[in-house]
Amino acid sequence: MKLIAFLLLIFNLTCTPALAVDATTSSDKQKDIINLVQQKVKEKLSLITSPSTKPKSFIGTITTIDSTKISIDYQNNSKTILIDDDTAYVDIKRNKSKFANFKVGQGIIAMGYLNENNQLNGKRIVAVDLKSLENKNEVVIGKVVDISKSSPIIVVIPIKNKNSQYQIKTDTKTEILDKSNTKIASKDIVLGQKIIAIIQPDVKIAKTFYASKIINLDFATSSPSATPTPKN
Amino acid sequence: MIKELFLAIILGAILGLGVMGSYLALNKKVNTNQNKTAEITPIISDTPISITPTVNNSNDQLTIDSPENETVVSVSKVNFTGITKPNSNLIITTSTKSFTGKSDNSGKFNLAVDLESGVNLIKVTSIDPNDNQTEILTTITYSTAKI
Repeated sequence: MKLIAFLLLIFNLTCTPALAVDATTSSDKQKDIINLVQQKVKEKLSLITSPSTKPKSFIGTITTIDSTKISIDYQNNSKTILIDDDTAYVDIKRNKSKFANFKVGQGIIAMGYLNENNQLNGKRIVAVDLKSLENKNEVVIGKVVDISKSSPIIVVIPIKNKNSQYQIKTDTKTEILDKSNTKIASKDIVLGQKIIAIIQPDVKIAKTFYASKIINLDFATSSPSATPTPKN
Repeated sequence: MIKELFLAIILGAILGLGVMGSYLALNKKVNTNQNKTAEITPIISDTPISITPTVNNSNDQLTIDSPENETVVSVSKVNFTGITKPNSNLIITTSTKSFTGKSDNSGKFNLAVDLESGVNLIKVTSIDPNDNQTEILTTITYSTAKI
């Protein structure tokens, strides 16, 4: 029995500390990894949720307004601007204004900083005419199918929508370029060529667009013509 | 005495084998857990693109990296950078001006744009070599007022 006890004692003294040390090391490694993962997740979360330090602006039409917040809508997208006593107001003529002058239906630009709920802490509210800010430019890529001989008008059929056509007016202010952005003349546009036109509706002629810029994708700089061999 | 010694050796062996078996089983479990943790780590480090809002506006054909949508800037000229299909024509229009350029062989583009004072509703259009056209509308405000 003494021998058994002795053997057990020897076994305990030699094996147990080794096992304990190994288990402790594994546990420490696990803790380190967990801590590292937690730290990384925390960093990413703080990036997402922390208030922005860059100024942002919202535009839209006022739908509701009270002393603490303004709700606006732009293209069916509603946003909230938080306001306080420090918020500055500017009227449509860029003069200093006040909160009481802003009503439902007024177009505004609100500038400030986003909070964690994606609401804007409004620092400056400016009244604007949203219609005047509209970008009416359209870009169309198509083939020239007709060129008027009496007026500077070309007709273009879009490459991807052959059921429609654009009647495009040009003038001396229209910038005409080749595909390498070099200026070319309006006479360099010929039937069948592929062009990109930057257009907007002509205010004077219905169903006609005015081109501010045309890029002729098929224009090739003409090579020097061959000199005819004189006949003897 | 010999009988007792023999018995002690057998008991010692059984006990030793039992303890070693337990140790090996425990060690295997710890290693499995460590491996699982090691698998999680790269997944977390690979995901910030989808959870960090670095891209202000994009679709499947065009991404604008800078400037961010709804940004307020205090300079009248900004560089639009981003990525689209290689060798695409890029057209950027404000309400009064247009700017054109091309993406490089890797699809990257960088185009300087002059801003109007106040809000600029900017259309960024990309037309790839197969004439596929896509457009993104972004809002940039140019203001020197103190915010």
